[in-house]
Amino acid sequence: MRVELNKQVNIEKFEAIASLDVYTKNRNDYIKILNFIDKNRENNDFNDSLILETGNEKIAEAIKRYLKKEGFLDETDRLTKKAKQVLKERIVPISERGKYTFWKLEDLLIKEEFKSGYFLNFKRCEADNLEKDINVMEDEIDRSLFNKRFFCMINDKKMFKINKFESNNQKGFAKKIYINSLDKANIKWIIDSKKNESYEISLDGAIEKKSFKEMLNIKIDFPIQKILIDIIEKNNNNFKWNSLKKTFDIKNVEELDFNNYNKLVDFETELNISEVEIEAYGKFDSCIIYEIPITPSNEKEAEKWVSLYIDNIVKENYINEKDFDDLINFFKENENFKNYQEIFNNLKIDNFLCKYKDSGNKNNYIHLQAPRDLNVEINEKNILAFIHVTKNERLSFKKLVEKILVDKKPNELVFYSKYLVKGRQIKKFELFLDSFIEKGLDKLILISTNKIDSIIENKKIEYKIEECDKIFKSKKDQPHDRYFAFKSSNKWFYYKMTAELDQCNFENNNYSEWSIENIGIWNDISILLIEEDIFPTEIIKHTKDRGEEN
Amino acid sequence: MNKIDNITFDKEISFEDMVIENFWEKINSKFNKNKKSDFINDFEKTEEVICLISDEELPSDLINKLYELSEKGVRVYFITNKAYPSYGVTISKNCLIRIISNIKGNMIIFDPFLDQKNKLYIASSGIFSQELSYEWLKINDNNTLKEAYHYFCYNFWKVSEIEFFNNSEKEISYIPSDIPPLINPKSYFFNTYSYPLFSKKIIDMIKKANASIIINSKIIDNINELERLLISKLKDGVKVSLLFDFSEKNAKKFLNSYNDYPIKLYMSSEIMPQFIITDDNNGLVFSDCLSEKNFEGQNNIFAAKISDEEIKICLSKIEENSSLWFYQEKKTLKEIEGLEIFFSISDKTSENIYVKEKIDKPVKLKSNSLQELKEKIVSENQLKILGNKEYSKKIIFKINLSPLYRNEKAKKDELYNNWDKCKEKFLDILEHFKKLLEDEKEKKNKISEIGDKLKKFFLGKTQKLHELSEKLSEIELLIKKIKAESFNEAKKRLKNFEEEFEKNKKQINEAIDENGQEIKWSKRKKELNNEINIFFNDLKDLENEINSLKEEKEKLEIEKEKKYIEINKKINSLKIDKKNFFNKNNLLEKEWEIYNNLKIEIEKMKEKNFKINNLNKIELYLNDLKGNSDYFKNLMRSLYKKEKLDNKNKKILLSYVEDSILKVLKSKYENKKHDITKIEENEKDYSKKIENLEKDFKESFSIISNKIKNKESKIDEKKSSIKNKEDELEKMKIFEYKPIKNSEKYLEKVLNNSKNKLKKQPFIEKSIADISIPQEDLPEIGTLYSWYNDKKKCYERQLAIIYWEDFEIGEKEAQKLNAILTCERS
Repeated sequence: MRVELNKQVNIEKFEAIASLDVYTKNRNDYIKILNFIDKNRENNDFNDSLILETGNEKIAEAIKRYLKKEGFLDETDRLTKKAKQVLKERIVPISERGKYTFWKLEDLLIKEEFKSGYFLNFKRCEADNLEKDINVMEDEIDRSLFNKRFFCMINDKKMFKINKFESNNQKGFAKKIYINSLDKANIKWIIDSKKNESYEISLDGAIEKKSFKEMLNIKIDFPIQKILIDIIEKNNNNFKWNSLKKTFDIKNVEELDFNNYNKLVDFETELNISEVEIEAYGKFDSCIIYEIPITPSNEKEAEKWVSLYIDNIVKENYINEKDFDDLINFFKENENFKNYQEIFNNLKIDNFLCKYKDSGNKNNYIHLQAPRDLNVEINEKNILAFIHVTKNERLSFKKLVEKILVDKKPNELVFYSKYLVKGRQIKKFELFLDSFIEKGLDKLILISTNKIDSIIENKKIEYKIEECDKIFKSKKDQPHDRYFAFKSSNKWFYYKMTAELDQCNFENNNYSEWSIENIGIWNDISILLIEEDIFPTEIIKHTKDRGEEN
Repeated sequence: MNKIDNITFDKEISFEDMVIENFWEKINSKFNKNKKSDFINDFEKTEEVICLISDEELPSDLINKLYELSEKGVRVYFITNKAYPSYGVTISKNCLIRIISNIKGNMIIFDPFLDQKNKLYIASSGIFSQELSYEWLKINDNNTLKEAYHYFCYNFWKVSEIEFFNNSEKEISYIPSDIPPLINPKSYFFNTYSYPLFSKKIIDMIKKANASIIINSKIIDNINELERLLISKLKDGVKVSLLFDFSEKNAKKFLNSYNDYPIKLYMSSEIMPQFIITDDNNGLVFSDCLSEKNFEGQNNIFAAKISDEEIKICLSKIEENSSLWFYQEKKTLKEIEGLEIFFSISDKTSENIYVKEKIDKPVKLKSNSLQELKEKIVSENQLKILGNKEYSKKIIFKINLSPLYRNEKAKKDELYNNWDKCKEKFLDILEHFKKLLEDEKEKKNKISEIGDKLKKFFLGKTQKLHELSEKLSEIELLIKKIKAESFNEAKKRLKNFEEEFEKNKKQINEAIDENGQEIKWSKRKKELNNEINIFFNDLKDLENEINSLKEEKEKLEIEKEKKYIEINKKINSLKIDKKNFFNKNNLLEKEWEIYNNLKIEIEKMKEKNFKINNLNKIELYLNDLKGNSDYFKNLMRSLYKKEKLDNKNKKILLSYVEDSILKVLKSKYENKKHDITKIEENEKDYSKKIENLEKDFKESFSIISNKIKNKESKIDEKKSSIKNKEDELEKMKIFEYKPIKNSEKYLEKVLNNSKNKLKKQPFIEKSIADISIPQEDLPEIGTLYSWYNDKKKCYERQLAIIYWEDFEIGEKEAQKLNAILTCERS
């Protein structure tokens, strides 16, 4: 689950007389003299060499006095910790004292880390008589809270540290000015349940009409999942947390907000939350919680779930019988539907056609019926050879490729599929490719909708990934089925697959552990060696083009 | 009177020998084609699926049938060329329609996967413009049906672009299955760009033909390969028959392409299966014609192999065709058996024509002359030229012969105008002369003073002018008759009249002129005598005036002398008084003068720079002064030597003159100064009076002298004028008449000046010699016209008459005037 929480906070502004350390870059004069002292202090002629370096005994003494006063040298003229820090970071803390305006932000979310608020900026203000001004500082602020804490000025990113607030008044030392309605900030808190403890908190807003952005690195000890579950359940009755499955059971699938029906196959949804209040951190603006895991709550809901998905897929697309079966099979084999296998007896294509016809849903009816009425299979005479993998056949990718190649050594492979989208699909293609590589493949052209360079780039082959949209004039021209061709001994062999490589399932669910030798359990798939004439022209062009290049 | 008008009569002409070339003869249909086809039967028996292709909008009865079947559960899959609106609320609700814009022709498969029940029909594009069932050709071969179904499925899923279902169009972006292409079909062929199987099949069939080729295709474009093959087959003796769509364009195109070869060309306007049959046993029926687009694969055309039985059906459909045309090169009208023919050559009509045996044909003709009209003359050629557009073997011409009418553009001949102008000119001249005669008669009355001589002259001339008037009347009578002869006589007489008139006119003018001159002469003579007398009187008056002026002058001189003497006396007495005063006071007049002059010079010396000129004057005054010391002379001398008198010397001098001289003189004269000055001023006053007296007298004398001078010059002028007038009078002793050059103008002036002004006649440029008299007389009957004949490029005359009674004279007159005799237009 993932959510981005936002809240608006006001920025406080007050005046105070203070001593500060402002950390400044580009002070080479300090760096140089401190460096000199650091290198030469232990030498016997240190004092003489310092005089030589500065040019004059009186100057040398004055510099030493100043550096001691500023805390860079101790009584033995050795560098203090502060000076060593300067040399390390090349940032010099310059002390200053005066009357300042400070901007400070306070919120429950940062209270733990910044107990008395987070300083955003300061600005020196004119003071006629500091000692007199000290007397009028009234507001009480616990001055110890600021002490020795670094802040960063939001405008020029200079670090500063408040050393001391001054006051003759026993009560307080600052004068609160006012809260300017224009000086505001938004606190953004991104929570991702997959990332265990790191929460991103960022600020953005404006001070005196100048905008700023700031990341706050705060660690919060927060039982995120529990709180999110509470928020979801509190906001929507349709969601019921199933702690066993670690998903929400959906009581009525139709009540889900369907801007995208893929959530039914992704088993994830998002939810608008109008009010968010987290006890320790207060109220936040309305938000959307993403990637909420969902499953049907019972068998009836499970059937509705599949129907709803099929209805919506068919509403937009023509679906042929094979694709229809694949869709049904997807649910049938899904872990979430393991207990609802009975429902699939009612989820046949004819049932859907009857339903659409009876209900007068002509659109869905025609989308499902037309591909049945107007369907021409490849003529047998155009099929030169074929490999059938039957349902439940146990076969590794290595063996499958061996069946395809027989004794041929592949040089080049052109592979076309629109469905290399999900991790598992990509992995299965990778196994198919690896099996070819093992047989000597050294060139690949992949035509797909998805750029999957990451899985190919570390393989020792020449490769090119072409996007379907660039290869085909229009979406309509993109072949529906999956095709591949390989070249061996300067001859191309053209194949059509009746289904995706996704037809193979492994017992081990962790697909990162799959290998070409792993035995998979297959659904029906035929791999047909076909005549060049019926191989999709645009893909053929690719093999030819490459041929000409060679 | 008989008016000339149209005449009607009949004449029969034969056209049987008329040769007709390059035409299409309609062959009479031999069979009754009202055979019922199986199509509707099979249609209605469909149980599950209909696969339909059509490239045109289905007729409503077929739409209804499909809709009824689909409502019963039959799935209808329909490929068409566009989403016709009529499908929207009908078949698109149940039937799945897909659009392939370039699909051509019609095909229907009933229940493709039910053995025994499946049926395949193919028909040409345009089928639905005719009766629904007849022209679908049933293909009975099962393999052909399977291949057709394969073709349908492939096109339905893979080729179609738009889906039209439930009245909404949707772009196709997805195929549910990969339909493999139809590879190496045995009996079903089609064309696509990359896969022109159909065209290859056609070419192959023609190539293999040994005896005959029959092609029935609505259009057969000039596809090079096809045409070349057919011509080569014709050359090899293969019989080629082409049947195509009935159109003028097609008719011409095929004649152009195959004109040199023994090809049989047929046309038909009926839609029937399009096919190719070679050697009587190879047949292919195709969905659309052999157009270039279809042949090149731009359109999605399909074809099926047909069996011998189906070949027979195809051929029988040609024989049953009720609109079959066969091309004929040449035939006489007598030889043509068909009833209808059609031409496709551009100079002939492209309409269908029915050949006829005999017709009546009313014809309107124009006669070439009134003579031909009178005798009803019309030549056979003239009628044949009219043509036989009706293609009738004989024609009875119902002739309506109209007279030769005067050309409607023709205008009245110029001869009329010329005669009018000529006569008008004559009348103008006569009128002019009449006015001139009147003018001459009037002249006598318009002269203010007539001497006796002129009175006697006019007694004789009045008679003469009357005679001239008589002559003008005679000429006027002559031109009343419009004939060249009498006009010529009038012209001759007019010439004589003109000469006589001018002669008399001159005499009258001179007599008037002489009368005028004599009266003027006597008037002038009288005037001169009067003027001389007046001048003499003036002379006397002037002389008297001069004498009185001279007397006045003398009186003035005497008065002046008197006044002068009186003043001088007074002056002398003052001088004596002055002398007496000086003497009485022991003073010297000279010294008084020097004293005054020295004072002036000394003042000048003080005021200005001293100059030698001043010194001289002082010296002069001092020289005249008695007792002047030498000191001064010496001083002066020393001063002379110096060019400039310096201040020192100047002071010396001044002090000397002032102190030594002026002081002495001052003491002597200053107390007497008033008296002396008074005497001197009186003296001056009298001297001034004398000056004024002189001046006044001088002015008075001058005025009188000038007046006298003026009068004397006037006397001279008068005397000179008298002399001139006396000279003129001397010259005018006897009257002499001097004829002036432009007596006419002069006379005009004389007569205009008189009280009764002579009426001025308008000036007309009349020259009798210029009158041109037309050479031809006007026609006695009818009206003469002329017009420019564009064809002959010349002017032509027509004499137009109205009645047959004028015909004889008209012919003679027309001949005389070189004109064609015509009938006048109403």
